[in-house]
Amino acid sequence: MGIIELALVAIKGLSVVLNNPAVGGKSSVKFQDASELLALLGELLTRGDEAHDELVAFTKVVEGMAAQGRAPNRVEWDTLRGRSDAAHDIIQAAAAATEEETEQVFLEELTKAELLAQAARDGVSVPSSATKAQIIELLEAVEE
Amino acid sequence: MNHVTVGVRQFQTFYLLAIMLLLQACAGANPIAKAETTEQRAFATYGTFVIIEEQAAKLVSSGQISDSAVRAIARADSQVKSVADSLLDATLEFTVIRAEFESGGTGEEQFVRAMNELNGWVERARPLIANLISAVRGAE
Repeated sequence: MGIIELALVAIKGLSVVLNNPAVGGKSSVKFQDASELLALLGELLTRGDEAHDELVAFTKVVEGMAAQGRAPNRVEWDTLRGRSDAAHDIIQAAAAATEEETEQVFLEELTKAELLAQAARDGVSVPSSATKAQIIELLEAVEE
Repeated sequence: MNHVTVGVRQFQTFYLLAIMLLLQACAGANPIAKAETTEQRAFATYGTFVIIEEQAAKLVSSGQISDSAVRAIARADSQVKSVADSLLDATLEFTVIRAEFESGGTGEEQFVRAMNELNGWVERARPLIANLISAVRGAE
């Protein structure tokens, strides 16, 4: 077991101890914060070298800032916000795509009669000769 | 000293040793611990969130996790993102008020109020970041 693996065991165990007054932990805010931070570090170490390396690099940035006694500047904030916005957009788009797929599956599982009832509820006009696929298309067009 | 007390002491001794290993492994990977001022602490908190959020983005783009896991990550991300952005805005506002305070243009009361508000946003962001980590962990 390497140093990282050992540390990981320690972090997770310590987190449990800090959360559990029965085994010597406390319930003060200070200890809760320590526990939370340990859990966070443990998760980042679990996620492998890439996240850990990024965290190490970012720690150096903050350390340098503290050594210089300066506040983060506007460019540094804007860079972080830009990165966050980009990641947020990716996550939300992925979630939206799963919801569209779910809706598609849901419609395909309905019978023609159920689809016609759905169309009536949604106020969608459907020709009597329409096939099941055409009704689904009409319903999806309305949603878009 | 009863059996339970001995057990607890042994347990605590083990964790003291573990802490030494932990500190050795994590010494260079704790931005929040390195921050010395309120603004640096806010920056360290937001930056840590961004690193986690980018990990989450890579995970949902990988196509290797379930739809429900993607949606759980997105929900956690939405919650923390709004608070984290408020933290960022509060920091920028605080920076202006601090500069005014230092030049004598703003009273101490307004300065302290802005600092307390900023600290409040930092504290609100932390559990939400932990939720995002849990969502990512659950998906992996």
